[in-house]
Amino acid sequence: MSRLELQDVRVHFGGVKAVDGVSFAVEPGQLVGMVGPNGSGKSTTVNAVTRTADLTSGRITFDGEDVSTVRPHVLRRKGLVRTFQGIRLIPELSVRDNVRLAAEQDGSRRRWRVGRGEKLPSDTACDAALERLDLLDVRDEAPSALPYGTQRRVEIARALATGPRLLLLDEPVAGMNRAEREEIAAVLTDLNSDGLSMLVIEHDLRLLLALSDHLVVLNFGRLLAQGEPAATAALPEVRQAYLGSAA
Amino acid sequence: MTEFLAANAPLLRSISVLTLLGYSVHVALRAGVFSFATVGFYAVGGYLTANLLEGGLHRYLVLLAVLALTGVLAVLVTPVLTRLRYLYLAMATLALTLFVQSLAQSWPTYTGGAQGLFGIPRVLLQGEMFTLVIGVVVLVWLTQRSAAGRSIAALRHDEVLSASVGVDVRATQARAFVASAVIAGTAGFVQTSSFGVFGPTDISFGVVVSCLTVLVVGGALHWVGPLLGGVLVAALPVYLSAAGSWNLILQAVVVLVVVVYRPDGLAGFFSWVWRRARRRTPPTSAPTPTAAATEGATR
Ligand SMILES: Nc1ncnc2c1ncn2[C@@H]1O[C@H](COP(=O)(O)OP(=O)(O)OP(=O)(O)O)[C@@H](O)[C@H]1O
Ligand SMILES: [Mg+2]
Repeated sequence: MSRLELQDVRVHFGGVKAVDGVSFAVEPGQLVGMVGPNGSGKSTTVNAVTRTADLTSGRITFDGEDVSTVRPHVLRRKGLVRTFQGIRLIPELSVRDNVRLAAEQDGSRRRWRVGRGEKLPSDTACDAALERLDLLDVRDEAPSALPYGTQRRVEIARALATGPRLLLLDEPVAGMNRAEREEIAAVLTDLNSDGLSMLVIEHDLRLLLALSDHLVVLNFGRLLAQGEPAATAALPEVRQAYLGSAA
Repeated sequence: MTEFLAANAPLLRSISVLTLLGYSVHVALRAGVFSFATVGFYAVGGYLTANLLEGGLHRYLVLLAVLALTGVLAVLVTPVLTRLRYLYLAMATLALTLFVQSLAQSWPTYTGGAQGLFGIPRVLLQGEMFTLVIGVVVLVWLTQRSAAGRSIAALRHDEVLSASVGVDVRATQARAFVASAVIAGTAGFVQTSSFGVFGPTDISFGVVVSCLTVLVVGGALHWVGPLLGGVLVAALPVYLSAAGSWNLILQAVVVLVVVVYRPDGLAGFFSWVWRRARRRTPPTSAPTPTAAATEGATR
């Protein structure tokens, strides 16, 4: 059974067919890369999965369960978590509280029963995520006090702190410099080898080819091609639509 | 001390009531709900208290009844409110208050109609009144430092993000609205059981304006804001009464000055002074947590 499966998913905004009949799957443990020109429907596809955008038609299943109509906050407890293309940190919360916020929404009422001096499971998850993204030194800072690349790392830590079974990352390294990109790539490889399934949208095709097990290419809201990453990227129609316009 | 408390009983009562009303609006506003319903629930609390005290019920039981009724009424209207946003939501809460106001007019058996109810036993002790106010302040403060407080801050800033990390936006807003209603009901209980009078002037448009003034002057989103605002808005007319007919104009000027120069109110002003004072004093031993961290935890 696939971790995530999209069947003929369409998202139309009035006349704009942002996503128009897309089908693909993320298998357990797989890292799927997604590329496509600007406006090709990548973010909208993720929005459809996380119920940020309403489906016009189609079906989405997570571990075999239909999640096309559930309310968005429910997905987190099922283990489906995303990051956004833009920075969306809560300005009045410290870095740690931004991450803790996500870790806490686990539906547990155990808060009352934990003994003095004992750490809450959510706090353990939060601190582990902070450590994994090398954020322990800045955990008490306000997000706005941090450089852009660090803010992006907080975004990833926040998603990670929920203990996801599938992580959807919308351009996680956008706006980062070379060294920062390499760092994040290493973290993603690490997580993936721990068995975490991921869908990663990214314009940096070189980085994505190094990371992914499977590549999905969108163009004008439609699936242009998908398959083994290197072979798919080498297809003439992909080179023309994507590489041709970008490089 | 006791003399001061006795001599200033009316002022302390109006501070308490305005502070509670301020917290009622504040609690909803923090969750992104700009609620005018506070005055409606204040009316429910006030009239219910009057009727039950007249009937001879003990004041503690009366308070419980007020909490229960305002809580249940709030739960009943939340399904409508949590489907609305922004201006529409604010209008719906205003409609609720208008509805209660007109109900009060057309139900004189229980409300005394245009005259209101008076001669109600003034049974609330001053100590009990302070306990209620301090209790609300402490609860608000504790909530804001808790997991619930972080969820509320998040959903006010970004509902889509909040939902994506698992915050049930509707349920959280609904809970905040119920808390707001219950605090407003408590304000009505305090007013009636300590003043002995409750009528249409207590729930007029002027009271809606007072609530907003308390919030703006004190600092709408800071946990201590409504308390500071309540004190100032209640005390200002008393100390400005020497100014005679200039009183209202001076009040308006104070509000304008705050809105223009300190949109975060007295609370914002004091925390700014506090942060500056701490920066001036050099650290004595180990470096203290940064200002940003303490701010993040307490705001
Ligand atoms: N809420 C919306 N209402 C109307 N149109 C929308 C909405 N969201 C996206 N679109 C449109 O849908 C199309 C696909 O947008 P989307 O953001 O999914 O592209 P993308 O592949 O993520 O692009 P980019 O690489 O620039 O992030 C665009 O034409 C966009 O303008
Ligand atoms: Mg996008």
